[in-house]
Amino acid sequence: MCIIALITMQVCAEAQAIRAAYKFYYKKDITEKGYYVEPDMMLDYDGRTAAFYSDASYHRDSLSVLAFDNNGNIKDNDAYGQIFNYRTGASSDLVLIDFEKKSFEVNYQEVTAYILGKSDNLEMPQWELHDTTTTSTLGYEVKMTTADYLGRKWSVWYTEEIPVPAGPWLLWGAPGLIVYARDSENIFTFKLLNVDLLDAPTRYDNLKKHYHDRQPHMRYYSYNLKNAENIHNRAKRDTKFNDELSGTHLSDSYVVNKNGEKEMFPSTRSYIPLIAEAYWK
Amino acid sequence: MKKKFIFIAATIMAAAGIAVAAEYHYGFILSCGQTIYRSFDHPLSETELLEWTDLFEDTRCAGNDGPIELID
Repeated sequence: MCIIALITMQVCAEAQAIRAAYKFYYKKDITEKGYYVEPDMMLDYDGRTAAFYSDASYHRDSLSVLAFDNNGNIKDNDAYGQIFNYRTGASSDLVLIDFEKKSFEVNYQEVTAYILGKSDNLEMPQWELHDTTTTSTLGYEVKMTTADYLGRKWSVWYTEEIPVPAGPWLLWGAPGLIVYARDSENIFTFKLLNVDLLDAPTRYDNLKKHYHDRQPHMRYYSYNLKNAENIHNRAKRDTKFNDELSGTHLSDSYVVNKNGEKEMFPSTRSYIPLIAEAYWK
Repeated sequence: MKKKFIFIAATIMAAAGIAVAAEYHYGFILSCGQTIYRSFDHPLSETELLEWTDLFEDTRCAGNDGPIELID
C-alpha cells in the first residue's frame, strides 16, 4: 500500500545551514559484485543552495590554489606538503543546486579538463511516499519513498526528524533529509554518516568560484547537461579522448605491476554514470 | 605525374623529419605498488603531475584487488 503524494517543497531562505556526510558506493561495471567507495561525500545545504562534493577533493583543491603559481609550479611548499594529507584519487564530481533560480550544474574534472553541464530546469523527483517506517542504523526514524528520476528507479529512506529537502547528488525534495538511497539495479548507494549544523556559510560559493574561475593550466568545456554528460561519459571510458580533452598527446604507455609484470595501459575503462544514458534517448 | 608524386612524398618525409616532437618520459609510482610509464609532448608542471597521479590512483588503485567494500 502506498500513498501517492505530490510534495510541494517550500525552500526556506532562513533555513539552518547543515553539512551531511555520505558514503557513496558505486560500480564501474554492472557485473561487479562489490562496490567502489567514496567515503567522504558532503552535502552542504542552506535553504537556498545545495552542494554535493568530496571533502578530500575540496581540501586538495583549496590547498592547490595556495600551492601552485599560474604556471602550475610550486610557490608554497607548506601548502603543497599538506595536499598529501588528503586522499588521492577522490572524486572531483560536483553538483551545485540553486533552488531559488531552479537551476543546477554538474562539474566534472578529468585530469586538467573541467567539464561543466548546466540546466535551468531543476525538476523535483516525483516522490511516491510509502507507509514503510523503520529505524536507521543512526537511530533516526526513516520512511521510504520512491521515484523514477533521470533514468533510474530510486528507493530512498528519509527522516522527518531533519526537515531538510535536500539529499545526496540530485536527489532532493523528499520530506526530510535522505538517510539512505539506492537505485533499483543496485549500482549506486548513498548512506548518511552524520549531520552537522553549520555556524559558517556553506562551501557552495567557494566551490562554484573554484570551478568557474579560469585557472591558466586547466581547460574548460561548458555545455548543456546532455552534452556535458555525453562528453564526460566518453572521457571516463576512452583514455585517448580524455588525453585530448586535457590537451595532452601521448605515446603508448605501459604499467609495471608490483610483481614486475609489464602490460600496456588500457585504452578503455568501465564507467556507469548516475544519470542513465537511456534517459537521453 | 609519377615524378610529381615522388616529390610530394619526399616533402612529407622531410617535413616529418623536421617536426619530430620532443617527448618527456615520466614514471608514476602509485600507492598500490604499480608504476605507470607515460610519455608526454611537454614537460609536466607540478600541478599536472598531481592531476595525472590522481587519475592513475583512481583508475589503477581504487579497487585494485577487485571492488573493495560490500554494503552492510
